[in-house]
Amino acid sequence: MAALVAVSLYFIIPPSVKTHLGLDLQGGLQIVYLAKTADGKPPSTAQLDQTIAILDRRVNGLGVTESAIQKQGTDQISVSLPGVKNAQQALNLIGKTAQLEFYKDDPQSRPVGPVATRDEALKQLKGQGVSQTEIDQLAANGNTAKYALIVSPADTVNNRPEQWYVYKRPPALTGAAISGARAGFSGQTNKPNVLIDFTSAGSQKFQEITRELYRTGLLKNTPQTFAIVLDNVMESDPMIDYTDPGLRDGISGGAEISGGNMTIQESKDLALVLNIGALPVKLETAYQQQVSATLGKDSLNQGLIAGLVGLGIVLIYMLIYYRFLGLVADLALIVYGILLWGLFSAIPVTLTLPGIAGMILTIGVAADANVVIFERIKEEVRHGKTVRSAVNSGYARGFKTILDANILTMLTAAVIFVFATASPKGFALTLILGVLVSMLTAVLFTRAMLGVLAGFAFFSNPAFMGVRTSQIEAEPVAEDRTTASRRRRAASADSGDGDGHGALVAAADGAATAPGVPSRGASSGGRRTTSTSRKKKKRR
Amino acid sequence: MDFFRRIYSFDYMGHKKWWFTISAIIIAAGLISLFVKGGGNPVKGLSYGLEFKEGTRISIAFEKQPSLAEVRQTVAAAGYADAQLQETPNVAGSHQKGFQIQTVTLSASAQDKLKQALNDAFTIAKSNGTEIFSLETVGATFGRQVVSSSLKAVAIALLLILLYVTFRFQWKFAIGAIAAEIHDLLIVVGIYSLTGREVTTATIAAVLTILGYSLYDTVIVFDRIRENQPKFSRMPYGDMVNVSIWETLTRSINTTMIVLFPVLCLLLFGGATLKDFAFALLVGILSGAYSSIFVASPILTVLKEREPQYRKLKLAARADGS
Repeated sequence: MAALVAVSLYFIIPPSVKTHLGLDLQGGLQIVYLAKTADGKPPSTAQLDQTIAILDRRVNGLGVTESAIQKQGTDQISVSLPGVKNAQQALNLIGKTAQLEFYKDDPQSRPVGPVATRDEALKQLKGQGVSQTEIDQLAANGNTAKYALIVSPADTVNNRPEQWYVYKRPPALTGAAISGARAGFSGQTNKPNVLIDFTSAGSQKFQEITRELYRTGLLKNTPQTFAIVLDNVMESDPMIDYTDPGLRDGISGGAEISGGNMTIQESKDLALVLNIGALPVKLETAYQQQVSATLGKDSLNQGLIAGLVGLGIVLIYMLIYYRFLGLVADLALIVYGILLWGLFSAIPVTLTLPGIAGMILTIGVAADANVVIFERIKEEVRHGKTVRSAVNSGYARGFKTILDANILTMLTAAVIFVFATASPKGFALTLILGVLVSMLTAVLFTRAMLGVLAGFAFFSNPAFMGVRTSQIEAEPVAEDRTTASRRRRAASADSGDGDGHGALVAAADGAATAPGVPSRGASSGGRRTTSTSRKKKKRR
Repeated sequence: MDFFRRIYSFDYMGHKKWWFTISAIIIAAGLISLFVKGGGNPVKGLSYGLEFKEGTRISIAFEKQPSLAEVRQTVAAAGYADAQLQETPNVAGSHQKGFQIQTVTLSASAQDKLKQALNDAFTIAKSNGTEIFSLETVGATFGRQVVSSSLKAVAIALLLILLYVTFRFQWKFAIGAIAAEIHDLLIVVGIYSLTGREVTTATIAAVLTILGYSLYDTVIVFDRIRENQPKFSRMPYGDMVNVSIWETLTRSINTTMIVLFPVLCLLLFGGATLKDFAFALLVGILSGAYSSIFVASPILTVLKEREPQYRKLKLAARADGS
């Protein structure tokens, strides 16, 4: 036991370094994403796992320590970034699908566009005899198996308004064809851009496409373009100059994304995202919470104050009510606190606001265990057992009750942990750990303390645990004179106090053992059974 | 004093009908409130926190507090004319006056634009170098999902409790325990509807915990009944239950008090979220203590007194007494 406490202390000290604070206590960003496939269907488990792996790598790029990415249910992913500085950058970086696509810009590949509005694009597509269900799906998700709705954002530099297109899927080339991306600067405009390198197969394919565009351009005497699209947004539409014979065999190098007003940071983030690869699903924000660091600190302090004051009151109450046994309980409670905290630091469990609430509740649960055991011991003493044997049998019987009660608490906590969403989860986990540690304390500490104390002569005085001599049914078998007189003194001192607690104990005992207290049933003349019960009990 | 003496000798089981009536009245009041406030749909009879409403909520403080109308104008100019605005005395725990702005769900770039617009107009206040600005976005399905996953958890938890109590005690005890559980849940939900207190995810977590903890006292009493059953085999069941209650009453009172102390401290000293937990826990713990004596035990007694041996004992006692 002492070893356990020592180990716990090792994990706790110093607390500021070793306690892991959740996002709600230190500030940061939490997002719950709803994952959907490109055409709006629920994702498969494999897709979800792959998404989490990719998100994990993206988040690593942010340099946030203690970030956590978890699956929630079958189609949700929760991302928490405690202490993140630039929430906006983080959001842009994480949530991007990063689906990179290359489309050819010919009438076959592009049935609609450019048009001025989204509605117009959808309307024109419908005019081409596409079914309404297909249109609805496209409107909702931006993609179907056959079409992609793509926007080219307004370009203030070239004074070009927002334009909408519909392209036919699949695209000529996808993100799978690229081997890497890096942030750089455009040679012409000296603005930040992202350069894309192709894999050898991708490069070959890209060369074929550009060669074909060159030939078509030559044939039609008009320059041909292709579109580089990222997450349904057209990043650029480079033109293949058919008058340049150097392009006769197509372009074999790389491509460039230079979208309008990219900042250096954005170009770096985009390069990172492209390097890691596209998400196999689309992410919609289901829940997003940004907690300021000051709010977190405040909540933590309030929680700690509440916890300490609550613990203090429980300690005092136990001491007043159970006297010497109360002291044992108080020590047990302090040991419990150290063990629980040690466990939390060692696992480590991240401490959240709901977790604090759970911990504070378990203070009560841990003290409850002692109440049940002590009441049982007191009962046994009143029935005339010696303190030593009362401790043994009282502990054994009391513990059995606690076991049932605690198993029920843990059962429900486990159900919450499995089925409920994020916030109740933290609460459930602390509750389970707290109840387990409280039982451990009851077995290892309270039991051992009682066992050791029962060996001392002074402990065999029932007044030490708040039992009055008058409440004991039969005299204990053997008792030396000094204890008896001390007990009498204690009893007379007790009878004078007359406070609520004293009355409660006396009354409790009166009901259980003292004959002659008129029962409610008997006095109303209805039943005689209640008094019978006492006689029965007396005889035992 | 007299009260304390009497609760240890009171004929609890002889007044079953009273307890059932009292519980029924409280629960009925809650249910009526749920139905009336929800316009026929009890799920809507609670006032759900913003965590359940679709949209984006921004908490923000400015260097110089502008008027509500000025902020509204800026927000409207940014394209959110139908946003809801509210002045708050303490933005995100900063002890600074500020505003809460509730808009439709904003994308990351829209969030940025709105924040920029507000900053340009009024300059966002800073505390320790970080802006006093927090933001929360909730999607359409989030609230529904939290509620439905919680209902699932409740159903499964009740089933497990039923099985465990049946396994450790007997199915008649399990019925009593489950009735007490449902009683506690209905009372908590009813009180939330009656008081119009906001339901948050913290509330839901607390309600789920009540499910586990409120049986503590019931288990204490049931454990004693199980122990006393063979001892007092010739006593009418209700009287034996009375004795069991008297014997464990101190225990039940103390365990309840001891859990209430920390919970009350949470209610007094905790921040908004902790207060939410504490209030639901408070109601649940009180209801749990009550239901162990006034719901679980009477129902067990009713079920047991139908058994031939106990019916005989009861009839004999009645004949004897009259």
